[in-house]
Amino acid sequence: MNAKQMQQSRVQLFRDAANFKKTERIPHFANVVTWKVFDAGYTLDQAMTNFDVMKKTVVHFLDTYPVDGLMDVGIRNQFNVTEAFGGGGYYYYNEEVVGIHDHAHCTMDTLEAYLDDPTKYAWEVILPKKYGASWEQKTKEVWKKTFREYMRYIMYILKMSSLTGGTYGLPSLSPNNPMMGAVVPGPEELLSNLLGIQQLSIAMRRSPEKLDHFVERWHQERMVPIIEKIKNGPGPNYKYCFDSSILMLAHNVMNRKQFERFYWPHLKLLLDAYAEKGMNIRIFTEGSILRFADYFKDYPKGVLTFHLEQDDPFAFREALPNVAIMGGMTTDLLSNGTPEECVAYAKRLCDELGKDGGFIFSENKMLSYRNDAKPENMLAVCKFVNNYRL
Amino acid sequence: MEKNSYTSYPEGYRRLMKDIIPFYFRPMKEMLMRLLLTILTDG
Repeated sequence: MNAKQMQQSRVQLFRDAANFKKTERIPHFANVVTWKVFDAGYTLDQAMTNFDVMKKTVVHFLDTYPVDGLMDVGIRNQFNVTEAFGGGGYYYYNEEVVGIHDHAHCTMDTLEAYLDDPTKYAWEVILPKKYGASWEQKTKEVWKKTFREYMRYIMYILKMSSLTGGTYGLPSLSPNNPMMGAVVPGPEELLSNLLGIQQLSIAMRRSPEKLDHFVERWHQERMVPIIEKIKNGPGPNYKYCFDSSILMLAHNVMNRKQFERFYWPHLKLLLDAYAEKGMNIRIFTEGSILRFADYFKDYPKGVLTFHLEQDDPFAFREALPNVAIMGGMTTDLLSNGTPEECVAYAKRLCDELGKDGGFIFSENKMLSYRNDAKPENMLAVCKFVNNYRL
Repeated sequence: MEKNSYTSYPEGYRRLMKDIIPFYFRPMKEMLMRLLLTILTDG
C-alpha cells in the first residue's frame, strides 16, 4: 500500500469507528504535541523556532511509534513570527515548559466595538495595548522581517503536511486549518481571547444581558454563514478523519443554567446542521463534559465523537451510548505505570469501548511535557493498539 | 528614531499591506494579513 492509499484507508478506519461500525482494529490518533521534542533528545527552546529541529522530532516520532494520526505535526507554535516582531506574546516557553498567559482583548464595554470591526479593533486597541511602548517602534523593517518569518511558517506547514501525508500516509484530522479558519463557538472566543476566564466568570453573573447580546451577534455574524454552508454543502468530506473539530473549554466555568443560556442554544443549531448532513464531528471536551451529557443524548450514532480529557470513558459510554469516544489512555498511567499496566488498560479500552465500533484510541491529555509519558510505555501501547485484532 | 508609521486605521493598515506583501501574494493579501494579525494578537 502506498502512502496515499494508506492515508485513505486510515480515514476510512476513523470514519467507521466514528460511525459505530465494527472495525478490524482500533485506530490510534496520537494526542502528542511537544512531548515528541523531548523524546527526540531536544529541549523546547531548541525546537520552538527551529523548523529543521522540529521536523526531526516529528520524523523521530513517526519512525518510532506506529500510529494512525498525529495531533500536532510540529506546526502549532508560531514563535518565529512573534519573536521576529519583537517578542511579548501571550505564549511563552523555556527549555521544559510551553504555556499561555490568561489574557483579555476586551472588557464588557468594548465587546461591541470588537464585533463592529475586529480588524480595526485589533489595530487600534489590541496591538497597542499588547505591545505597549514597543508598538510605536515597529518600523517597516520589523514588519518586513515579521512577514518573511510568517511566510516561512506557512511554507513549513505545507511541507510538514506533505511529509506526514505523502511519506507516512497520515491523514489530517479535520479541515480546520489556519488558512480556512476554525469553527469557534462564541463562549470559547470569550474565554480564550476576548474576556479571559476571570472576566467571563464575572460577566455571567453581573452582565448576563450583555453576554446574551454578544453570543447572539456572534452566532448571527459568524456561525450562521457556517451553518448555511454546511446545509448547502455536499456532506461528509472523506479527505479528512472528521468533517469538523470543535474545542470546548468554556463549559467548565459554567453551571447548567449558564450553559443553557449562553452556550447550548447556538451550539445545538450548529450540531443539528452537521447531523442533518450525516457528518462526523469531533469535539475535544477539555476538562469534564459528563455533567452536560443529557444535552447530547438525542443525536444519532455517527454524528458526535467526544475526545475526553478528564471524564472516565466507561462512565461516559454508559451516559451517552450514542456518542463515539476518542481518548481513554491516561497520561497518569503513561507517566507512572509500567508497560504491562499500560497495555492491560489499553486492552480493556479496546475490548469494552471498541468491540462494536464507536471508539478511537487516543491519549486523554495533549502530551506536552517531558514527564507526560515514559517512552517505553508509549511504545508498548502504540505497538499493542496497532497489532491488536478485535 | 524611526517610528511605526502604520498605526492609523484603515490608512496605515492598507499601506502596510502594500509595503510588506510581495506583489505575487497581493491577490491573497486580505487573507494573509488576517492570519498574521491573528498570530500577532492571539499568539
